[in-house]
Amino acid sequence: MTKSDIAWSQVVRELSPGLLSYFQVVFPREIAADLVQETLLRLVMKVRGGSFQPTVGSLRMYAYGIARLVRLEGRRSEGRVLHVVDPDQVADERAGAEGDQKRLLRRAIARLKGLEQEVILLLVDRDLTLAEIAALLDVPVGTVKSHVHRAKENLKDMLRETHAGER
Amino acid sequence: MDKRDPELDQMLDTLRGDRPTEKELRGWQAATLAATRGNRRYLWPALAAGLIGVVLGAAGAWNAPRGEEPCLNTYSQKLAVENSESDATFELTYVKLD
Repeated sequence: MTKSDIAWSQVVRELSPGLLSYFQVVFPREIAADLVQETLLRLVMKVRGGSFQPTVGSLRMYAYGIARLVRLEGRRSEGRVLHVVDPDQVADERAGAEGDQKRLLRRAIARLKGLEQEVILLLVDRDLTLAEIAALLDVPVGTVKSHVHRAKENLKDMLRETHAGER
Repeated sequence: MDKRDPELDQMLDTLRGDRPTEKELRGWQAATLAATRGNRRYLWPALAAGLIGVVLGAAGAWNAPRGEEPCLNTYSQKLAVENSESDATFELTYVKLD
């Protein structure tokens, strides 16, 4: 094994848990695992092709730039296969295997719109900073912060409503 | 300040529990290593093809006909018109538009 091989193994070990959580918010476990692999492969190709510039941002941030594209492509292809991707339906199908809280939170995130959802999905990886998220989404940090605040309030409202409805 | 929201982080902790299995990790590591080696496999043929291209390009440039340099924005070409009663020679001038 060369030094480069060892370094890549380490990259996979470091990035894959966050990426898996990221994809799992909107996809079932098996599809999420496939999308992690797709992201990692594209990352290798792009880094080896010289597209990654360490001066612009971290490798983690670069990986999430790829993951966003893979997620959007995955959503489109899943839509083609299943015809309709209803977040509620997907979340309900998982209910047996997962905790209720997790299911409700995923359902609430699926209902967030646009940048609010993007920001929350990226925040699932604890190691991404707000500055990195801002750079990824090509918006100022202040915009990310305001979306974080709004998204949090919306999530809390949605979870409160769900709990009230279940009582 | 680039500070994350602790309350939101606590909410999102619920989604961070799932970790990849060792089998998945090994599979992804193997796939990425195969991808890096795949690139190396094509490196030397690509370099060789590039080198041949440079050599052929240089040979072509060496053997290319050398004539008068055209002036900056125009160049002309003389056409001898065969099978013409007048045996006239026409000079066409092209104007290059920048």
